[in-house]
Amino acid sequence: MPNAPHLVLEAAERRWATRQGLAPTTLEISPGSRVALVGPSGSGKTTLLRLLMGELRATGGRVLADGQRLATMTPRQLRDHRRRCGALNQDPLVINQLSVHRNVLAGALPGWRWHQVVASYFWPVQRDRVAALLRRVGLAERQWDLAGELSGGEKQRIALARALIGAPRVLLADEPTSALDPTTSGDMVRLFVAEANRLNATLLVSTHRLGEIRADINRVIGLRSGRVTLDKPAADVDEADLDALYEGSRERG
Amino acid sequence: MNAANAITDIDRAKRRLYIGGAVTLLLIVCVWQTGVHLGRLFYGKGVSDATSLFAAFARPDLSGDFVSRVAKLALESFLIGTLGTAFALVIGIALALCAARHPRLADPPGGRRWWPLCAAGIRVASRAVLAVSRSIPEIVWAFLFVRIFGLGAGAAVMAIAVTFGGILGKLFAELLEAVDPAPARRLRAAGAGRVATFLYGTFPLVRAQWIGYALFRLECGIRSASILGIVGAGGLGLQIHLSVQYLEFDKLATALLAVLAYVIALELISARLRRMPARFTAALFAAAALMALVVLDVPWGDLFTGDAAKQAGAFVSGFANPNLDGGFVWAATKLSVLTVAMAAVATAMAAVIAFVFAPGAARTYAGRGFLEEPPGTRPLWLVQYAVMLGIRLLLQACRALPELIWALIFVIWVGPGVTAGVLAICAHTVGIFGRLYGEVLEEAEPGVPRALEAAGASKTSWFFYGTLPQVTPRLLSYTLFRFEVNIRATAMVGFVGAGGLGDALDTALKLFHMRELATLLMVLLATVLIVDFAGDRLRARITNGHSARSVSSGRSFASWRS
Repeated sequence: MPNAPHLVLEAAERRWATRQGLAPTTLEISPGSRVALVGPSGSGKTTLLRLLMGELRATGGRVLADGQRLATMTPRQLRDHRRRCGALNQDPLVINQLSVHRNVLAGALPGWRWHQVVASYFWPVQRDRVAALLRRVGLAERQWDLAGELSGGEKQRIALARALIGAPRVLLADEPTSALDPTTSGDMVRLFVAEANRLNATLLVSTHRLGEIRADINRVIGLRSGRVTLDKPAADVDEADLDALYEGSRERG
Repeated sequence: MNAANAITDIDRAKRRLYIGGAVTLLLIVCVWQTGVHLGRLFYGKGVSDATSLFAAFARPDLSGDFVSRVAKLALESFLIGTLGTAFALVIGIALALCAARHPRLADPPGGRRWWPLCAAGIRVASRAVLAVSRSIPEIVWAFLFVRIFGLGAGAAVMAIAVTFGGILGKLFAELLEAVDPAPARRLRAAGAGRVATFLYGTFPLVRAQWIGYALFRLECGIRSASILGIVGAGGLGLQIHLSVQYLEFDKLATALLAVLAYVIALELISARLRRMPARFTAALFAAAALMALVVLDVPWGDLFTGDAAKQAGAFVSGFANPNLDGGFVWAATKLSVLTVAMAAVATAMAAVIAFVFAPGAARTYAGRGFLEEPPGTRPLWLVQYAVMLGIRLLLQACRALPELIWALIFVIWVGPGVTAGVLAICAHTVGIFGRLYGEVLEEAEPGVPRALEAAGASKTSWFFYGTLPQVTPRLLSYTLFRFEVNIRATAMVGFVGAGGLGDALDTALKLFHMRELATLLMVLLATVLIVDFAGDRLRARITNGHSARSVSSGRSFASWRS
């Protein structure tokens, strides 16, 4: 298994027409690290994650993976970089009209030739591989159900399985549990931390519930209004740090 | 939860393959039985004619005389469409008021006993008139009215008035029956008369919808007026008819370009007017209709002569006494089955072609995808953009030329017969599907395909796993719906020699065999009804009760509401 990439932001910023998503930021994420991103809504957590996985382009500065700028990569290299990243979003983004099996399989598509993709649309393939993965996320029984019939928590498990099937080297989770109830949310967090450990992947989680995940991470990055205002080992973060970060907002969980 | 007998993807795939296989087999049988022969597009004696026709597009007849004649005919078409729709509106509203049963009001005590019975009789009669007038294709009406008015604009005006009157009346009545009855009941209870109840209780509730739908139909009427002349009823179609008869390709090219320009101008203008208040457009409509009444030189008096009454009598008595000779009915049935098969082949071909091209016309699919571009790929974009624009233009041209005109072109190209008909329907439908599929694809939720693209999936991948599953039911149901529409259209292309039931209708009309005409029309109606019914059921299954009919017509006329 290839190593997780060394991710670096050098004064990287992201600006939209009317607002700044992320002010020029310099950060280094070493392979295998466990990072939590905290901060109020709109503070730039999602922008940061999207910049790192190459979904957004930096409007200034540089984003590097293993020393290579994402902006100068060929489309093929950029796709390869994206394939190394597994993403989880707040919205699980499953296709309700397809079975759980196909939804998970969709995560494996990047490695396929187009005719394999078309053929797999007409005949279900890799049934054992998907079944094994679904067992790990606790959906073994639901492989052939339509995704639309599953609950929100179960859909998030589909999304996890879909992210895992490509054996990602970086797992980027953007508030993956904020739409779930606390118990489901806790289970979910343990699940993807365990999977990140198993894959020995870098883990980046943005969350409002630091307590859930604190034991499993080694670094906390706090953002406020698009700037990094906190960057400490997880053990050193105290209540005062978080209070300062969330001052004037009521989202802390 | 997942019992041994639960449905798996293997079952789903098998079912899909079985259905797909059965449909393919059926289509093969259709191709074989109808004798469609696409090879004639490339060899045969028509090819040289087609070549000279296409060459004529490079040097159409642009002499001042001819251009001004074509422009005059285009104006005539516009006036025909406007006046026809205006008459249709009068007919439609009158019949809708008689046919609608809304709201169910208690008659005041002491009212005349015989009134409810009488009202029911009027209702049934006006519904029958509505059904007949909209079920008989406008081109048949045009033919019939040519016999009364002679060649010229009058026949086209009346054809549009009668057909569209039926369509408008049906929909107006449906809308009337659907409104909230409470205001009318209240007025009635307060002692208001029928007229006052309607004007103050019901009409305000349907007014916006009525106006919207009338304007939508106006657009259709103006479009349709450009081709009715093919049977001698004035407008641009008349020139096309003449040019084809004398094989004057340069004049034909000019006329075809004029139709293209006419339809595209209509689309542009109506797109602009849709953004204006409906009142403004309605006022323009009224002004244009008045102008048409003055300008169009139609001998309206001929409608009320003894000769006209005789013609109408012959037509009606044909229906009262159709030719039910076994051999003829069997022949008519075979012809209408042939028509359905032609429509099926044409629709399927168009669906395949459009499915390949539609993503090319949709911005997201033509090149850029959902994510931001890697900067290095920019030059390629220009090419992709050009390809997208080219495909759009081609689809637009396919759509803008009506089926009948395509039929004329293909009759010249591959010779008269079924093949020309299928190609004509296919060409027009490719344009329709291209736009429809493109819209459906653009409306798909971008979340999943975007996420897949962000995970590094190729375009094929996110299209098949992200977009297509979302829109498949709608694509299928639109396609089925268009197949039903195409059956009617296929019956029409026979009028210019492109096979199917239209050939026989044309012959019966020309020879004035009203009994045979009645039989043919009745068989056609029965076929259309059966296919419509089956199609409705099938579509309801595909889309879980969400009707494509209301979607496809509702969308286009909803945009007319201001």
